[in-house]
Amino acid sequence: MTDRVLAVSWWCQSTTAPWTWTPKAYVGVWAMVAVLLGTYGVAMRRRARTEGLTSRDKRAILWFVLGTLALWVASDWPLGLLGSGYLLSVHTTLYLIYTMVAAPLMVIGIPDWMARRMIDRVRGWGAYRLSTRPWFAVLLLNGVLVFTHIPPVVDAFRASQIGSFALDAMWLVSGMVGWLPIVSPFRGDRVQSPVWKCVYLFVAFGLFPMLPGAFITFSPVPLYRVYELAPRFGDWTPEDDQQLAGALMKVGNVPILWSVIAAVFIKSALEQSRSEQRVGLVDDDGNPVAATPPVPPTPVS
Amino acid sequence: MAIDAPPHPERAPEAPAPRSARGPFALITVAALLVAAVGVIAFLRDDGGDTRPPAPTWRGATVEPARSRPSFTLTGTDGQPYDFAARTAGQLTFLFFGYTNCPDVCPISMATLTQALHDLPGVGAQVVFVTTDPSRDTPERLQEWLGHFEGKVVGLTGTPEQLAAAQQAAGATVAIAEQPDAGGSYTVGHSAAMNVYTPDDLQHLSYPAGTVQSDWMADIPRILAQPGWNGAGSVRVTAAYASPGTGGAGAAYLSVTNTGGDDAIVGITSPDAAAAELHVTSGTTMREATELALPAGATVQLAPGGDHVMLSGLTRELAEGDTITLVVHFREAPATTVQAAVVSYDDLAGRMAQAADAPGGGS
Repeated sequence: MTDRVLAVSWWCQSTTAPWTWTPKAYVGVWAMVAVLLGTYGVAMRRRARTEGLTSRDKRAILWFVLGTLALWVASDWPLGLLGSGYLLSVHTTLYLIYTMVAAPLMVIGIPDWMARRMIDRVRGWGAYRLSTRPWFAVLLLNGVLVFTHIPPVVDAFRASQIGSFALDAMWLVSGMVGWLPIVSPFRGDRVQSPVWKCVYLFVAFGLFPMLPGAFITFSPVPLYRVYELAPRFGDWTPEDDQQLAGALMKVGNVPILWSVIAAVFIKSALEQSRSEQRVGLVDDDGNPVAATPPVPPTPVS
Repeated sequence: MAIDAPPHPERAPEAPAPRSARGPFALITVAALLVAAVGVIAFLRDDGGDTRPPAPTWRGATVEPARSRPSFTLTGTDGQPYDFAARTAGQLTFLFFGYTNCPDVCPISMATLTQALHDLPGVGAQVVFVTTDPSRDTPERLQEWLGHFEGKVVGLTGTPEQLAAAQQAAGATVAIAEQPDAGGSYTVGHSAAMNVYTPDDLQHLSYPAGTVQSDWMADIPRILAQPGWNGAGSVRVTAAYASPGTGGAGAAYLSVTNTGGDDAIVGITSPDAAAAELHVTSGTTMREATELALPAGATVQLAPGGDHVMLSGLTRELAEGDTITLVVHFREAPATTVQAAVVSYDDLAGRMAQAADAPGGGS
């Protein structure tokens, strides 16, 4: 594929052209970002005019924009192209960005009123309810993870722009579903118990990815034709690249996953502390306060 | 995981759709996941199925009839002549024509093959890389570039004429350099096939660009185990030459080594000639023969002044530097296709004598 053809490409796909640091334009990526931010901005503007924005809405805007930016960075040149056609390790990094960064930020960035309107519009309450069930979210997230890392699937999907887009879209959607039980726009639909939240996060995002990660790391031969036959990127061999990719899949999620788990625990501890303070079980320094017997009224002579 | 969430004021409204509306969604999703799981299992079984009998097909393309190991002499990276047929005779050999500035096919093809050979301990093989870009691929550059790959790779260069003849001898399309761009950079269009010669000195297989390491690792052990390809009990055409032809007629000469049981040449055909006859000479008389005996363990030469192949109805004039395709048919061994290099009549005797002296009777 020549540079001229790449210049009008829609989405990143595998290519036989040697890697260069000359930027390429992917109009599909730009269109996706524009549509996401545009529709989100219009909805927020309408809300601001009619009912005004709460502080929670304003924070949501920040999260959504950050999530969309993460999506953009992962989909556009250079990361998108490197991951689609040159390096499996970047492909794995893209998976992590889609599912562990972009997806949760975008879900957090959707306020409940907006989510309600969106789901109403597509009549998707059934799908939404199912997606908030932890067993289903784990199954979908990791089913997509495994399916989109089967070598023939990757080779086939990455060979075309549509296929490559479909792969990325599956990652984003499965990532959003995976985070719904934790950060659903409707707080009542989230897993409530902090312990169960941590268990869910570990199982959904930490445990299952270890299996394909190990499979990729310890394979004696390169598994993916698309990356094995790609023009070389620097001095990296396909074996080096694949081992790095496997390691990333196994432990690349650790910083995000364990930060979130830690945050869940800290938040839970703080809430518990505040709650105990409210009922007078601890003083301002957190020390237990001995229950004092009620003082009998002083008799008035 | 059963998690009971207490009622919450911000809980989404209960699904207005009847339960049956989400039933199909769940069913389809679960079915899709099951299909994916079956796919994974199928893939894993396929990858780890070493105990199953080998598949009947090859990852590369079969060459039928098999071609003879080509004869050409080029210059190695040490500056010394390298006689390909003689130096690689009887060995599993991989021959590739490419160039070191190639952006994709050449480095990838070489890397996948050499890495596979590295991961297959005990497989003795020769890997030979012949440049198609002699002006840029100096012996030093070739040596430096080939050093990036696993194991030892023989790098060969030569004059453009020698390189063209080598490609023709191997049945490859002769490479063409494209016009340089403003910066003087250019690419070279060349055959992307990896030619595989087995110990019987024949090419039974050719692997296209895009052959990956797992393809090689699956096929190389099978190639070496293939009955009849390991060189034992086989007939090899170790040299093939032709004299310049005029008036639609010419002659070809062969050196054939039989390391197996008794056999015989029972005919020769050529797509470049209307007829090819075996002529045997006895004293001063010459006659057409229907077959030429190949006794067990013998090397038989059809050389100038003696037995030879008479070509008539040539489709083109044969000039020095050309090649002509000959298909040698044996009574027992499979037919072999050879590219006979056209050399001057004065050189023929020397070439055939050289072939007789080479190890294994090779040229």
